[in-house]
Amino acid sequence: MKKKIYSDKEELNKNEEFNSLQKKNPFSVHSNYFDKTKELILSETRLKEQIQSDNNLFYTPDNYFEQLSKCIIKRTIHSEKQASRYSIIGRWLYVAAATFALILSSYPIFKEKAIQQESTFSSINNEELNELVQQNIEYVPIEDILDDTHSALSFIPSEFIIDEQTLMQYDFSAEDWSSF
Amino acid sequence: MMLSDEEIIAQFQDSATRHRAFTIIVERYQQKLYWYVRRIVISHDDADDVIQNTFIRVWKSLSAFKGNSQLYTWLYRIATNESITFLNKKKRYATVSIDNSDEYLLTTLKADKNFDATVAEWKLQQAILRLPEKQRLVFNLRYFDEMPYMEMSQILETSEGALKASYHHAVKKVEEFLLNH
Repeated sequence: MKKKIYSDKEELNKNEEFNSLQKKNPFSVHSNYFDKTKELILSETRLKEQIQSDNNLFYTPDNYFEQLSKCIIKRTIHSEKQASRYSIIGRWLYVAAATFALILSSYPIFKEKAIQQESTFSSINNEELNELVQQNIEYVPIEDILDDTHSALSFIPSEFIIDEQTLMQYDFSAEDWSSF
Repeated sequence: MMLSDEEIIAQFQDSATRHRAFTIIVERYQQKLYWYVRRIVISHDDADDVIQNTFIRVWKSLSAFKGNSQLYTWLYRIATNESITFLNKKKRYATVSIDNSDEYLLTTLKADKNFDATVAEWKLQQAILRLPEKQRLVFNLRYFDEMPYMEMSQILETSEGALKASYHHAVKKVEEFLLNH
């Protein structure tokens, strides 16, 4: 095809037209720029290869995937193990708490029983005491009797008193005991 | 020897090998799912949250997985649900009212320090983020993950025909955006 040859005037007009366009838009692109861009993006070859070789348009911090898998394992498998450990501890704590609560709740009952028993004994003691009084017998507390016994035996020299340990060394037979 | 997905699921059902099976699933699928989620929620921090929630959901519900679909389509489905739920929550609690999700995501994309794209890539992302949610999901799965329509229909619970139409519309819109911007 024969190339069109512009006259000088036509060439001048063309340049003027281009210059005026440049003034309106200081940025210019090649006439086939948009087609090329579209081709570049949607060709499913160049860009796609580039994207896949670069892994992506986006990127991640260094060693991200190692950290991610650790984090996921920690939040799933490890948390389950921990939860089961906690549930065992929890169960023990529950048993301990229940026992403690049982003790606490039964304490007033025991205490009341003890008070009742004490009052019963004291009433019995009072009855015995009354009986002694009625029969004109002097009441001597048991502590006083023990003290009196100790003081009564104090005249015996200490070498004559055999302590319990020494006594246990002798092998007394049933007959020996009966002879005493 | 590399275990198949069926073998991994069988191991997961057994309490003795359950932990090992789950570790394999995490190591095998975390990257694929992360990039899928990242393209939906855009920001790395958000994608990090969503992917962790996705795997926690997998951990809790894998024992109930019946094997009606493939494991990886099931994983993609959970990741899709988690991503959409996350975006909806984010929109609901945003301090500034966000009428259009694309505007919100474009702002997120601009602010993301882990995004360093060339002009063409930047334009493509802008075009994708301007798509309606469903078309965007279809475009991402088809264009980036090269997923067959049959598997995509299991993830998005949509017929193959509807998905093809969605992808077609999405491509047209992306082309239009690229030609006009």
